Amino acid sequence: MENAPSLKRRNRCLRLIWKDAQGAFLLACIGGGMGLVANQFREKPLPLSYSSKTLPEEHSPTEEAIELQSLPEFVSVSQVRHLINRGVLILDVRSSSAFQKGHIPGSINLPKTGDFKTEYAKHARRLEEDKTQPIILYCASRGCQDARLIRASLQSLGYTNTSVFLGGWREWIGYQFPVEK
Amino acid sequence: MDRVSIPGGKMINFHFPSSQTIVLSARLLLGTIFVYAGTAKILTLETFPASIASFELVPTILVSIIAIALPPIEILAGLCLVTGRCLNSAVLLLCCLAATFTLAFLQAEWRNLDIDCNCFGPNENQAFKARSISLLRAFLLFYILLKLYISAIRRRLST
Repeated sequence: MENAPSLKRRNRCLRLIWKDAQGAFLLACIGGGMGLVANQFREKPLPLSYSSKTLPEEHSPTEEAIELQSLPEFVSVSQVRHLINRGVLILDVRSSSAFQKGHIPGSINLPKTGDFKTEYAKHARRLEEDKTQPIILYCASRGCQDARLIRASLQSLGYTNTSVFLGGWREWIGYQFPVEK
Repeated sequence: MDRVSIPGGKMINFHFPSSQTIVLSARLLLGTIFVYAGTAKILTLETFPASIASFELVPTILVSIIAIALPPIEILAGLCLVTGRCLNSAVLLLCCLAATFTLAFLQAEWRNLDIDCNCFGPNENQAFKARSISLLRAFLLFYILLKLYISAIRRRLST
């Protein structure tokens, strides 16, 4: 049986935690509320409903507008689906382990996780055949920036016709398009 | 001041930092980390919902709301840690957040999910982006915050 002082101490401890929890809840409400209000004042407020399958309009030029000789900066999932059958080189910049688990058919792996020069050297022969060839890069999902970073590296090496598939692997499998392993 | 022996058998005077100094340093460090993380996320808010969705943990309807609300919460609680205002509540809040992050990374590791953390913005160093490193980092944050909170509770109980 617990003695009175330890019981008293335990009750006081619980009261302190409860008080802190109330304060923490209040802080979370204030912070979260500030975020929701501040979002409305942004130039482009983030929509409250999230959808991984919709691309921003400026990133989704119509398919007719796409020419292999001059790819736009970003391409949509349907455009990638359309372009893979037209001899576009697809670069998967996710890790090697992710690539091995599955990738867009015909793509080659140039992981951002490793040293770019080393990884590039592995595929230099294939890439340097023609620096104006159409290349599409993708990474895990819309949230990752790796494809854009590798695109910038390729551009600095003289590649002039590169594009990023923003939705990446997550969007590709979201549409249940064919996968190569 | 304490006497400490060094190789060679000599004794030197060494000033160990007091527990208060350690707590203050930890507080300032953690506060700065959370303010930085929150700011980095706000600056690239467009990409943050996809990062949350990649954990496949919360329903789609909540993804954007969490993405909008989380960074200011991190900044506010981080500032509380730095300034010392509402300190205990802020430590408890960040401790809960760190525990949630740890569990999220743990389930991602377990399910072998291909996640994009973006914990410190999309331009985070590649070496720190690996799933296991992120898990370790979240657990370390949780552990330090828990220690801070327990020490605060003990101190308040003894007064």
